[in-house]
Amino acid sequence: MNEFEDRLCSLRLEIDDATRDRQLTAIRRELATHRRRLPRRRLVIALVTALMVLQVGVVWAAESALPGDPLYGIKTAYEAPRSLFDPDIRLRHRLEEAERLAESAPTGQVRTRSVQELLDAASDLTTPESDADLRRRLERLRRETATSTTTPAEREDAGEPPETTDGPTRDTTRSSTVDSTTTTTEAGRSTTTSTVGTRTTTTEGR
Amino acid sequence: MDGVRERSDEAFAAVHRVVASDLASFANGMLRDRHAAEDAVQQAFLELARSAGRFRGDGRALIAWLYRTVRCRCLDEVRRRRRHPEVPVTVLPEPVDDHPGFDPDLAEALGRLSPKDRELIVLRYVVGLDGEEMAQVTGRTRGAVYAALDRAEDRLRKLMTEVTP
Repeated sequence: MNEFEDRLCSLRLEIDDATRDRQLTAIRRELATHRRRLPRRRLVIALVTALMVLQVGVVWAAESALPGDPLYGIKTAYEAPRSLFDPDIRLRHRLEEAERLAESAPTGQVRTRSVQELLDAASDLTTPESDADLRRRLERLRRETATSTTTPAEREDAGEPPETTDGPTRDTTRSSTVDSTTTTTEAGRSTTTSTVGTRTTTTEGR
Repeated sequence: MDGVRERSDEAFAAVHRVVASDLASFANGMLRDRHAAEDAVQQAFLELARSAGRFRGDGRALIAWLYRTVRCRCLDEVRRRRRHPEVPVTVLPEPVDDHPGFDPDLAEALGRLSPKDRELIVLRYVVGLDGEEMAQVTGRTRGAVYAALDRAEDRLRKLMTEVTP
C-alpha cells in the first residue's frame, strides 16, 4: 500500500445526520422553487408558439383577400417585408386580384373600374426587371378589360361579335348610343341602368 | 438520472447519501476546514438543483460534475484566503485521541502543498478516485494526472521531512 494511503484516510469526513438533514432541507426548498417556475416557463413558450402559429395562419388566410375583404389590410401590410425576398409580390397580388375580379364580376362599369384601378396599380409597379410572365398577364388582362368596357355598338362598329352576359337577364334594350350608364352591385347581382334620350332601360345580371 | 432531471426529492436524497461524504472529504482535504467543506458540498447540490433539468449524462457524469463544482468552490476559497490571509483553521475531523489514524504532521504537510498538488493527493488517497475519475474532475488526461500525482507525492514526502520534528 502506498505510504500515504493509510495515513491520509484519516482525513475522511463523514457527514453526520444533523448536517445531512439540514442540507437536504435546503436542497428540497431549492428543488420546489424550480419545480414551481417550470410550468410558467412552459406556458410562456406555449403561448408564444401559439401566437406565432396564429400569425402565420392569418397571413396565409389573407393571401386570397380581395379589396374590401376584412383581411385585405393584413395582406397589403405584409407585402413590404415580403418584397425583400420577392420584389414582384405587390405586382403579383394586384394582378391576381384584378384577374379574380374580372372573372367573377359581370360586365359593367363598377367591375371595370375596380379592375381598372388594380391594373393601373399593377402597371405602376411594373419595372423592366419585373417577371416577364407577370407583365404578359398584365398586358393580356388590359386588352381583355379594354374590350369589355367598350359598348356593344362600339364593338359592332369595330367588327367584334355582340356581347353575351352571364346569368338571367330580365330586360335588355339595345341602343346605338348610351347617354349615361350606372351599375349597382348588391349581393353578387348587378343592375345596369342605361339612359338614351328619354328612354331608360334596366338590365339585371349575375 | 431521470429523477434528478425531474428534480425529485427522493432522487436528490439518494445521490446525497451516496456521494456527499466523499465530496466533503475532498473539500476538507482542500480547505482543512470542516464547516467550509460542508458548505462547499451544500452549494454544489444547490447548483445541481438549479440546473438539473439541463443535465445530460449518466450517473458517473453526474458525480464527476459534483466533484468539479466542489473543486471550483474550494479553489475560489483558497484564492480568497490568499488575498485575505487569516489564521489557518485546521479543524480535526474527529478528536485526535479518538481517531488513531490521524497524523497531524501529514495534515500540516498537506496544507503546505499547492492547491493543484493537494487536490490530486486528496482525490487519490482520501476519496479513493481512480485515474480516469480524477481526470474527469480535474479536466486533464489520465496520463497527465498520474504524472502530476507522482510529482505531488514527491513534494509531500519532502514537506513531511520538514514538518516532522
